[in-house]
Amino acid sequence: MSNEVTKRTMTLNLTEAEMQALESISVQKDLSKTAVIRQALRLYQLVDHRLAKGEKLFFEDEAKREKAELMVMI
Amino acid sequence: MKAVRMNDELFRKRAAEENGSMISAIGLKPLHSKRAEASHQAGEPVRFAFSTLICHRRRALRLTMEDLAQKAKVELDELLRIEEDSAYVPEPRTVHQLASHLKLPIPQLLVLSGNATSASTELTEAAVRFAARSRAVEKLNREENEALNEFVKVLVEQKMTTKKK
Amino acid sequence: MSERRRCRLKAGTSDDLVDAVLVEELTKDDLLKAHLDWAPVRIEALRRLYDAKVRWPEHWHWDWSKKADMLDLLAYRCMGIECEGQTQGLLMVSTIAGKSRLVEQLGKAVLYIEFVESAPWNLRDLVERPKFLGVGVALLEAAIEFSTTEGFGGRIGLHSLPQSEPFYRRYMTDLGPDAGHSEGLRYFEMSADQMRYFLEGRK
Repeated sequence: MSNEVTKRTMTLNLTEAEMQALESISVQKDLSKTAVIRQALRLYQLVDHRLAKGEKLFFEDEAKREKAELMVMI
Repeated sequence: MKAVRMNDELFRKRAAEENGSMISAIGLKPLHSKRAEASHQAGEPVRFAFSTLICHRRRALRLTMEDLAQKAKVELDELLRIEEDSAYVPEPRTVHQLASHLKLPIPQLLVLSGNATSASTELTEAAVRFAARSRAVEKLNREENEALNEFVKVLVEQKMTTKKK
Repeated sequence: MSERRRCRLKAGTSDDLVDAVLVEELTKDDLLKAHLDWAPVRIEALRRLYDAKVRWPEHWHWDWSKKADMLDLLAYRCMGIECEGQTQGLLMVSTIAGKSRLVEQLGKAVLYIEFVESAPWNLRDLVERPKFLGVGVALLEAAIEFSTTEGFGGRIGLHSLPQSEPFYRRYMTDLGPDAGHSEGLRYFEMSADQMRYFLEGRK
């Protein structure tokens, strides 16, 4: 079996709303809840990395030709 | 869930089918970096002019590619690509280094190489004329020499306002 | 310490399979070493092609040491195949860049292949007698396996360079040129059926 590198376990305390969101995303993306959390962490780190370099994060609506900066407090 | 592993016999068959062919894939603009799109900047003739300019100038200065790469502290394979592949957009640093060693003006070369844009059409027109008069031969003939000198003169005399990409 | 698993390659000059190792998580140093190992052979091969006025392979200018910075981020993982003490192939994947475009698995997470490469001495375009065959197959296998353990069901996607299209078309669905890709490369994805065919030989 691959990926038997050391893994550490933590207990995560979530509110009802947070748990529901996690479950919903998990179903929608066909990913386990653990996989969703790991994806979120990877995305968070990547966004943080680029923001730290001075870049900005935008959402773009091509149809409306609108671009809005996402003010992210990370 | 665990993926099934290919058995040896099937692997042998698939490896033989692959037969040492190219397998390279390259991702979308990488999420980790903001290097701008390379491919669609200066038009074909202008980029051909850049490739040719570097190559001919180097030869006019009687430098081999290895010499120039070493002196300008650029990677030999990047220099090879610059001279051979006019679709390639080199790193700005490489353009700076080459411009310095070939004694060519940096802003103009940044435009020609696709790293910056210029408001004026004069440079583009000169580049197209130069490209049309140039072809790859071992030794620069007299006409190529003249074309090269004329183009360099235009580059040097141009007052540039360029925009970085 | 990265997980190292046995895998195999095919010898270039016989029908024999050769033991190799799949390293599941390369470090920056590993990438740098591979780049340094590959560079002289690559440059020599390119010089020969240049002299013979042969068109260069499209990926020749890749510098793996520059790719090493991607490994600072969790989203990226680089795997390699080692044989006879040298890196024979490299594969960089992203876990957050891929979303399926195949109708049967639309929108599902896909392991996206950022870069894949075989050592220059294994490529018929660069050397007369490739040393090892099957690097591409072994790397695809590794990608599918990693996709599975990450919970992506073995789904993989990539943008192929034109010269590599025949290889990927054999096992994956060609979704055509992608306008969203800076070089307009064709996007390929592997469906569940195709994965079965690839790994098991049955449709």
